[in-house]
Amino acid sequence: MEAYYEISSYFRKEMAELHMEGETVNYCYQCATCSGACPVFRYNSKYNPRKLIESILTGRKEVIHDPNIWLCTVCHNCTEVCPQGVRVSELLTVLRNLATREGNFPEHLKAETRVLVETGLVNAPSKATLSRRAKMGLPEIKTADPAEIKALLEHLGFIEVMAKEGKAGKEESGGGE
Amino acid sequence: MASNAYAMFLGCVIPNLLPHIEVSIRKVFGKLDVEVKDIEGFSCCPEPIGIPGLDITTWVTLAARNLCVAEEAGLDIVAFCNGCFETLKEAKILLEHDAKLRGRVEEALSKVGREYKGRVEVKHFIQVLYEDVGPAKLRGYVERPLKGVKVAAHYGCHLLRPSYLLQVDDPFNPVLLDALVEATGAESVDYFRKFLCCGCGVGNLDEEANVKMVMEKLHYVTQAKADCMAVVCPVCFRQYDVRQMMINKTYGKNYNVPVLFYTQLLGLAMGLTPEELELKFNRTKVDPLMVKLNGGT
Amino acid sequence: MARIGLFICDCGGTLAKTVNFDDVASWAEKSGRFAFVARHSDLCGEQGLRELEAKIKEEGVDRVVVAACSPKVKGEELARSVEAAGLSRYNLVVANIREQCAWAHPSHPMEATEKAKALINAAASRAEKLDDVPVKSVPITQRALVIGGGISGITAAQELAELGFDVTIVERQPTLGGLCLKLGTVFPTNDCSLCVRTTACPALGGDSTRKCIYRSAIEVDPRIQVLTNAEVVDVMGEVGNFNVVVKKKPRYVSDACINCGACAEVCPVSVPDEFNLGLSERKAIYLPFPQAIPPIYVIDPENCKFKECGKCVEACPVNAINLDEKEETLTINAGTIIVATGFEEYDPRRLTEYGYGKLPDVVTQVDLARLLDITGPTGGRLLRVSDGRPVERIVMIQCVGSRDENHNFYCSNICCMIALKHAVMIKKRFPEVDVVIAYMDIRPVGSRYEEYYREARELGVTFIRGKPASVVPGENGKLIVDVENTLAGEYNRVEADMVALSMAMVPSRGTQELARILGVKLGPDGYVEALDRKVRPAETNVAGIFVAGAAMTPMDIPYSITHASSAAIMAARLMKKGSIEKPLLTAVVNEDTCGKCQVCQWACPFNAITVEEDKSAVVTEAKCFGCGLCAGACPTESIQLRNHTDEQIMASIEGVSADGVKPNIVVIACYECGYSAIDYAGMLGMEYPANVKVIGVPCTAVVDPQEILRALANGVDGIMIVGCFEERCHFSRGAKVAGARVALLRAMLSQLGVNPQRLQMVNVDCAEADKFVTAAKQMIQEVQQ
Repeated sequence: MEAYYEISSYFRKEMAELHMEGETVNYCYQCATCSGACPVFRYNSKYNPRKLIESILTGRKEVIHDPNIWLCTVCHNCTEVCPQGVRVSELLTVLRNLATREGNFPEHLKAETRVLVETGLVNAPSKATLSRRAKMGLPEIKTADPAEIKALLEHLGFIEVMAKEGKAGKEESGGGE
Repeated sequence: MASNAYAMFLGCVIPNLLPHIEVSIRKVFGKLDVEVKDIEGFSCCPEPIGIPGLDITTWVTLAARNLCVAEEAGLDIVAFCNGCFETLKEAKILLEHDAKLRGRVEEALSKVGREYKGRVEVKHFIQVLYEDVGPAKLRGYVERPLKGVKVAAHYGCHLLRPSYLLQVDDPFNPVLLDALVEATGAESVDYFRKFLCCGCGVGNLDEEANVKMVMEKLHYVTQAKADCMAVVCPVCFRQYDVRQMMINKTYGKNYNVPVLFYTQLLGLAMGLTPEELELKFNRTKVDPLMVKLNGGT
Repeated sequence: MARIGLFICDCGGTLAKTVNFDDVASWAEKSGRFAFVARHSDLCGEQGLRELEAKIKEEGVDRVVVAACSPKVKGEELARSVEAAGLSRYNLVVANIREQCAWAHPSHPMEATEKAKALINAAASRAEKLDDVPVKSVPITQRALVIGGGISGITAAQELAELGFDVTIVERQPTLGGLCLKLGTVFPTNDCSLCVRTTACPALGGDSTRKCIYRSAIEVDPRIQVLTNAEVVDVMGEVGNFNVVVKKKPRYVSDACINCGACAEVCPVSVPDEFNLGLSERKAIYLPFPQAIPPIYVIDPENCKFKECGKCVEACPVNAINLDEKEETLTINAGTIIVATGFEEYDPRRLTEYGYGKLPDVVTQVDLARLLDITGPTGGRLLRVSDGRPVERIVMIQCVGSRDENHNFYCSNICCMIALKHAVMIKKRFPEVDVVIAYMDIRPVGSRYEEYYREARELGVTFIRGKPASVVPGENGKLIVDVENTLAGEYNRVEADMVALSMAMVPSRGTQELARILGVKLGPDGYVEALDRKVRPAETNVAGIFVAGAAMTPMDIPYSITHASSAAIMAARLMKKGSIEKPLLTAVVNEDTCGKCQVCQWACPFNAITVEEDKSAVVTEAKCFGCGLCAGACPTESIQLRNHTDEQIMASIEGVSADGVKPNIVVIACYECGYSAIDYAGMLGMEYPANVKVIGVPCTAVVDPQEILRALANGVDGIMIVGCFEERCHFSRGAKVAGARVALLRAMLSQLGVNPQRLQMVNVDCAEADKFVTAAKQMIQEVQQ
């Protein structure tokens, strides 16, 4: 184990390629307004958007193996308050994309993907729901053909990636976010 | 698109988990001068929390597919869920500005015989109510003004943010929902943490943080002496409505904030009864609110 | 017909290594263009200059061409000798056969010799066409008008009065003092903010380093006219002769007022005092501040009941109150104007998440200064605004609205120091109060200001590095500040009794409108832009208008005073001349052909041209900088720059082209960075081909499209326009305009099937000789394609 850490200014270039506003990461001056505004950080300091951006700036690539990066509630407060126009939530989404490709994603999203592939929805109607709908006089809604959704997901390589072992997060029974 | 009607994008939470909200939507829109149509073939938007984190291209592709479906029907989209709104609108904007992304998405769509042309407009239902109908006209439909009712309006996250993309309203000082609430005759009260996220995105990954976010909101809503909360997203609805009972039990709290989806609130103001609106399916009881409306305290 | 005398200098014989002077002299004599051809080796020396003068007188010529070194080197000496000989200095043309010829082409003596002839030929053609340059005498009014009566305005006024000028101060508030009135004690001396450098006034205590404003004699100085409750609404005229229209709001109390207070005692109307955060009360008739200048009461017309009441009129022992007073409009004639309108805090309500306005205990630093001041609403005690309980902990938030792309992109300079000053003050006076500062960076940049930061830490101030995003109410009336303590990497939930926001500083309201009235340029931060940010910080783009103090950029008191003195000197320097003797190398309008289209008015960066409806363009010569942007833009070529007219420029172009050398590259360089960079190439011995010949103009924007096209159609193979960097153009935007013009013409040439590389623009800094040389060599290749 090295006694020091080698910084790299190139991870941020890699990241910047993956989103049209990715280059804004360069503007960050680590003021911590994003973490100050982050509702998750307030309750769980293991999720720290500022620190994640810092990792991008100095090239700490191993952060994509940190399961805590999935604690984000995707409220976009960070991007909104940033005084330097850094698109924080977009960059962290890209970070999570890179993490996914390494097999770091919450287990419950595996289940969610399964439901998506099978039904074309993330929340599929149960028999009870369908019955209640009928009682309320609501019409039957025809949603997408799941085969089409599956074909798209297959073509995009999504299903393959999701077949990996999901390392992050807790188990969640199918349905709901 | 030029048509006067909209394709109704209900998403998957309202029809499949909260059908009583759908009742209020259909009944309210049925009375207004806005045409919303059921369209076949929509899939999950897909949800903007987990899916983009897994793969942005997949997220945008499935969203673009839904836009194609609307395009083929010749209609613009009105979304009834913040998540669906952000997904569909953001996908449209990203496809306009990011040529590389557009290339990947179009290539994938071509494999299933879809062609994205980018002509569909995406609106949130409160935008449609504010722009197409307008608070003044809305007041005209109100038969039982909600006078004396204090409402804490909760915009949610994905309606306003990120503002540089969505451009719906001022993210820290918006007026849309407040104006619509006041159109019912109620008072939209100011309260701290008005723009705090409902916490759904954290999900079960940190149950405690999730619940604390809900509690923080309920704390300040109660402090502002609001009679109820008005939400415009079914997921926010579940957080504040369904979880409130659980929080009271588990944490020994005594929150008593009825939560209404905006069309439920508007429905009441338009003279519909709680029975017609299936309000009994709201977990938080609207009884105290009804008492107030009927002249009691 | 002009008679031209030619002097050729070989610079101590050294240039003869490259240029064959016998050949050149012989050619010149045979050309018949010159009344005489005189050769010299040391024309610029004392003797040489005397001989030059004598020869001119002897031969009775009326134009002089000197072929020698660059006019930028010895041009002034030569000009003075020409003047001594009885001619106008504007009848001299210098042909640069050293830096731009012999020194630049040492390996090609034959070509250099031919080029020398071409340059002399062009100089002769130009000399033939030169016009007389009249000199206009503009008398300068010996009065300065200072807009703004704060620390900077007062300083500038007092300096100018000391120097013997008359001054009028126009101040919007009913008292002088500006923002300093609110600040209590200030850094770096921890004493009163109402302080000015003294002017000697024996009755009030003689000379000392400083005095309180109210005993500084500003009011009794016979040369200073103080107009309070007044605003500038219009300005007409030009440098030396401004007519400033001032609207004076009625005070309702005359200067018979003896400041006894009897009126306020009987006044029945009490309103919250906005000066003290609305926390204390004042009457409708009030003294704005205990040390107000003038020390005269004023009536607040929004709340006074006027004739319905009238109690104050009865009570006044000297009959100073006149409820019928009307607004007055005056016009003041001034030779110079100084903008000293200062700055104010950015509206904290625009950052809704901090709760200013919703949470009474969230205040700004200026609010805090009021609370800590003995003249404030709590007499200087630090009490919570909401319930008056003592403050146990105060949290200060830095950079609110500063360094923020969503609000103000710049750093406001003084907020770190204000916070540190207040922190130290609080800890010294109320040691039990916990002071916490949440910051991004701490910037005590002034002289020895670092002491404040050290002292703050010594006294136990807690510093948290992290910017809070919001302030919300907590339990028991406390405020909660959520912040990430980045140095610890942890979340801090800080409970506070009071939160002080260090707000961004923005130009005082009304600055934009004032700038529009004056024609003064504002920078991207909304502040008045200095004429040159490096070397001319107190001048503006408008001749005769200067800027003093924070109106230019956020600054502290020492910097404001320095800056204001600088502005005073600039104004004094101008007014001292008594009159402006201006050689009219300015724009001239041909009224017969003027199309009244207003393009020249838009083009002028100095507001020197007016085109009234259906009238020809009128040039205000006093304001004209002689750049030629107007001439370059005029579609009918009706406005021309004296001594750089289209005809004269074309004559130079034809002159250098007469040697028939191919390809014929003509460089049109601005006399600023462009010409300098080319000289520099010669000085460094950087060689380039001799078929590149240079003509100088004041600014590249004077060259109009018609000239360029004519030249390209008549024997010129390539035109290279060399100017300064766009953002450093000495005439504001000339280089930018020229650049756009060249781009358009290139596109046009391309469409017409002409090689667009025949027209190029190069922007250089004066030291970028290499850039020019590379471009010149490249162009020679490109035009031949």
